[in-house]
Order: sequence, then C-alpha cells, then structure tokens
Amino acid sequence: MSNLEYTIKELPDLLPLGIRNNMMQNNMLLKDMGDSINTFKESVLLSNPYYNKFYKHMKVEKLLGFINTTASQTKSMSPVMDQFQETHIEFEDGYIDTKNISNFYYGPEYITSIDRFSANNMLNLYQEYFVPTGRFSDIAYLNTIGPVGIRVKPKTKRSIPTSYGYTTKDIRDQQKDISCNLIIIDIGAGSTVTMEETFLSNPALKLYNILYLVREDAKLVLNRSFAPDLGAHIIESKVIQFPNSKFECNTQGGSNPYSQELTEVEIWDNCTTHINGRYYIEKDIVNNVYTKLHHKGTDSFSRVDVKTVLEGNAHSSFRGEIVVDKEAINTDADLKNNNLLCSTKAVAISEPQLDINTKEIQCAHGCTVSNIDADQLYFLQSRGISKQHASNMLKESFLGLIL
Amino acid sequence: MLVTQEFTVEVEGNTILDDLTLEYGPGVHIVMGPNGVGKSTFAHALMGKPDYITEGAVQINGKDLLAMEVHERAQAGLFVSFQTPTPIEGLSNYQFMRQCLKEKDVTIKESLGEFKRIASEYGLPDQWDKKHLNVQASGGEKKKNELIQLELLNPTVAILDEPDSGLDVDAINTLVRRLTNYVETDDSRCLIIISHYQQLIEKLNPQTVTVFKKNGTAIQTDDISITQKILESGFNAV
Repeated sequence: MSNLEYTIKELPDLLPLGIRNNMMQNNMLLKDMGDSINTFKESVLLSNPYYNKFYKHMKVEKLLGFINTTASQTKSMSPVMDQFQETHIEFEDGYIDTKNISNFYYGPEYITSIDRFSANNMLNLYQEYFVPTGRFSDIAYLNTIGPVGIRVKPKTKRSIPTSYGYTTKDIRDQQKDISCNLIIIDIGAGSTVTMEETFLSNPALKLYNILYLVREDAKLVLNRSFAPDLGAHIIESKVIQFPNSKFECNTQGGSNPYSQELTEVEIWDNCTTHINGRYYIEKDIVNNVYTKLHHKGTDSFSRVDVKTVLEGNAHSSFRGEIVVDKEAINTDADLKNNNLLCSTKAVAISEPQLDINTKEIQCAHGCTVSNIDADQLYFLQSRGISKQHASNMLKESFLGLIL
Repeated sequence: MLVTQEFTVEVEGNTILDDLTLEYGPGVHIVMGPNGVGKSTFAHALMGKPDYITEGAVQINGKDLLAMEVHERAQAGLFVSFQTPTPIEGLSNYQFMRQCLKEKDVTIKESLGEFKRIASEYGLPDQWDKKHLNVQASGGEKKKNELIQLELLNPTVAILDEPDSGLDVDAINTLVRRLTNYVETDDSRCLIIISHYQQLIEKLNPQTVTVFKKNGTAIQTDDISITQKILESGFNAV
C-alpha cells in the first residue's frame, strides 16, 4: 500500500486492514500481549476515539490538518544512532536507542532496555497496566510497531536525558507517517531518577501512550520540554506510584501547533505527587492539559499547579480531576490552574473536578482566568520599563520564569 | 526642574485638580492637604497614569512631560513612589531593579551590592533581594522597597507619597537620615514629599510648601512656617 494519506479520524477504520506491521499484525507481540491487544482492538473498533466527548474543549478538528502518509515509513528499520552528538536515550515508534549512553547495545548497566526483541522483556506482565481509555492513546497502543522502554535497576541514582523522536531534524522531517509510541518506564525500588524529556515532532502526528512505574521508595522527576516545531503531540501518560514513592512532572510547553498532555496518576500509600505545567501559547496554537490524580492509598500529598499565558488566537483547555477513594484517608490534595489572557481573541477553558469519597482529607482547588493587571503594568512602566517589556515581564513572572 | 502651568486633571469625569501653576526647583518641597484633595492624583497624573485626563503644560528639565509615555517620563528623571505599591508574584525585588537599571550602565555586581547595602540599612531581612516584589510584605517593608528604588534609580525629580506611613520609629529615623543625605549629596536633586510628619519636614529643610485645597486648586509658598500653622490649627487656617 503506497502513498496512502489519512488523518487520525480515519485511522481506526484502517487498522484492521494491516497498513503497517503494528501490534495487531506482529505474532511475537500477539503472543506476549495478546489479551491486552484484543481489548484495545475491541475498544477502538467499537468507538472511534476522535468522537470521544472527552475532547469537547480540545479542538480535535485541528488534527485533521495533519496528514499522515504511509509511504514515508521507511527509515525506522535503520536506526540513526551513530549521528547523535549528545548522550541520551532515544525513543521513536517501536525503537529505543541507548547505545549512545553506553558501549553496550542494551544500555548502561543501570538500565535494561525493553523491546520486542529482548529476552525477558516481561511484556506479558506489563500488559495488565494498559487499559483502554477510549482516547487516542488506544490508537498509539494498537498502531505502534512495538512497545519499548527502560527498566531502571533498584537504588539507581541518575539523571537520564531522553528524547522522544530522532534528534536529527532531517531524519525527523522524513517521518511523514503517524508516529505511535508505546513506552514503559519502570523505575526500580529505592531509585532516584530525573528524566530530562525532550519531545521532538515530525511533520505528521505523534501519539504517545507512556506508562511510568515508580516502585516503592523511588523518586521520579520528569522535566519535560518541547522543541519548537510544526508537528503535533498527543501525550498520554499513566503513572503508577507504589507506596512511599515520589513523582514530580515539570513541563514547559506550548511551542507546537497542537498539543495534548494527559496525565493520570494512581497514588498509593504515603506518596508525594507534584505536577507543574508552564505554557506560553500564541498565534493559533491549541494546548490542552488534563490531569487526573487518583488517591487510592492513605497519607498522600499531591499538588497540581498549571499556568498558561495566552496570546493571539491561542486556545487552552485544562481539565483537572482529583479522585479520593474511601480508603484514602489523610490525603492532602490541591489543584490550581491559572490563565493569563493577553488577547481578546484567545480562549482559556478551565474545569476542575473533585470526586471525594472520604471526609478525613484536605482537598482544595482554584482556577482563574485573568488579564494583565493594569496596576502592575503601570507600576513597572513608572520605573522606566517600556510597556512592551513590562508586559513581557508580567507574563514571565506569571509563569515564574524570571526569578 | 518641574514646572506645571494651568495643569488640570480629570478622573472618571470629575475634575480633581484645577488650573495648577507650580514650580519645583532643586531641594526639598513639601506637599500638604486634607484627605481626598488629590495629592496622590497630582503625583500619578504627572507620571502619566492611564485613564487620567490632563490639560495644561508640564515641563521636566525643559522637556514636555505630558507628551511622553509613562516609561519615558521615568527615563526623563521623574520618580513617583506609591502609597500602596502593587505586588507582583514571580518577580524578585532585585530582578525587578535589574530590569529597571538595564538602560543604565550599571553592572549586576554593583547594583546587587548596592541593593543589599541599602536594604540592610533599612533593616530589611536577609535575602530581601530574592523575595517577590511586594508580595507578603508589610506596609513598612513596601515603603522601604520604594525608597531602595528611589536611591538606585537616582531620578532628578522624585515625588514621595507619604514615605513615613507604615514605618516604625527606627525606620523613620533611617528614612530622615537617608533622605537628608540624598538631597545633600547632590544639590541638583528635587524631592517633592507628600507628608504631614513634622519631624520629617523640619529635618529636610524644605524650599517650598504646596497646600492642596478641596476645590482642586493649590497654593505654593516659600514660607515654611505654614506647615506649623497647619499642624496646630488645621487646613482651614491657611
């Protein structure tokens, strides 16, 4: 099948036709993860994620402008690992490259690579964490060439630079088919790991379904950034926090024409969770953030703090959910979403949702949409700062970027 | 240095200041008047606060002040302290000053050192440079912050709006000492102080006193004893 062009809306109908060697076609993966693959297949074929009401404020129609072309799917079988200048782990649709941070093909000694070729990849054990959501991440799951990931050994203390996408721009520009990524990050017990995550876009769509397992007593910090580019990202992350673990995600984003960053965290006993997002969006950029913190265990602490500055015709949606189970006593949760509207044409939608099933907790939320404060602007100008510069300072200080 | 001619200010359709012709040269000048007569409005109208409609003419060092944007007025040498300085979350005190001083040939080392030294003299806490601008600061701390800005920006004409309010006794003594020093070290500076604090007025040895009236007009005199009359018998006595 050559030069087949399609959009994300059409893809579910094409999946059974075998347009690529994806999870549904690969016998090795069907053997390891068959139960899970069948569940996802049923879900996607039953209901096209494009029409999911979950996306009602996310302007998914803009995704129809990203045309995917199957004929361009040629480069990936020849990983371009030798061209990398910096040391990092690289993920791209079924492939992982750890060679550049190690002399060993399967990565340095503190990491075990997970891919469909590795012995003991334990994919059959990971499949229990993957449950269909009815969203685009289900397509990422089914249409990826294969799951990849890393298993960080217990008690590791490391910073791991990670890129999602080929770091060489010329090669990325050739990737004109949809990139579907199913990624497993398994942080061993007692480890402290910081992942410096850079998301690189292709001309076509990039879908991510990422599972982070933060084992007992481990700490995982994600510092997320996006290379300014013309592509679109749909990133859906699921985080499982085992007891006594810490998870922190710090995102600086808003530079791509279309983004969805969806993060669900399952929080067990005595955990700490921080999700911080800082987004600056302008022109016609559409940026959507969804967080769901599900407190399942006792004595946990969580904070969500998402701020967005909007200019031009930018569109931002934020939906923040906190769910506290009946058993999750002594939970302390707080959710904040603040938006600074710098244009009359920009739109910010903010939806907090609390689902609290026990009384023995502290839980709060606060969402605001405001304009640049005229008094603050005047104050800065009165000290000799031009209106434009003062306005930029206020935007940056709102995002906490000029401390 | 600062001359107003037939200066009229209208705010939200009301004439607050009417036909003011005043002149401020080098040295200290005191502005007094009952509450609500427009003393602060006078300061902010000169600074160019949006939504204030002005008529007449104002010159600063021979330049047409009213033709300038707000930041240009500051760059031309005008400084107005705020009665209630606005807080800005996310912007540290020093970073703010650094941005203000960008146009001036001052290194970070020099300006940060000077900032810390003045902050320390005013008894502000350590790490004051890193605190967010006027956020969770007391009234007195905000006033001190304004005075640090005054000293670092070194304007030719400064209007200080009740700089003593909110300050404790020690801080007022420091204020008096520093303002005295400020005008004595450079006799070309013009300091217009809105205040009814007798100790401050006496120590600063003002050149003129301007009294704002309820009808929007004002009188300016070099007879400093008028301040004593006002403090003893009230504004109706003058």
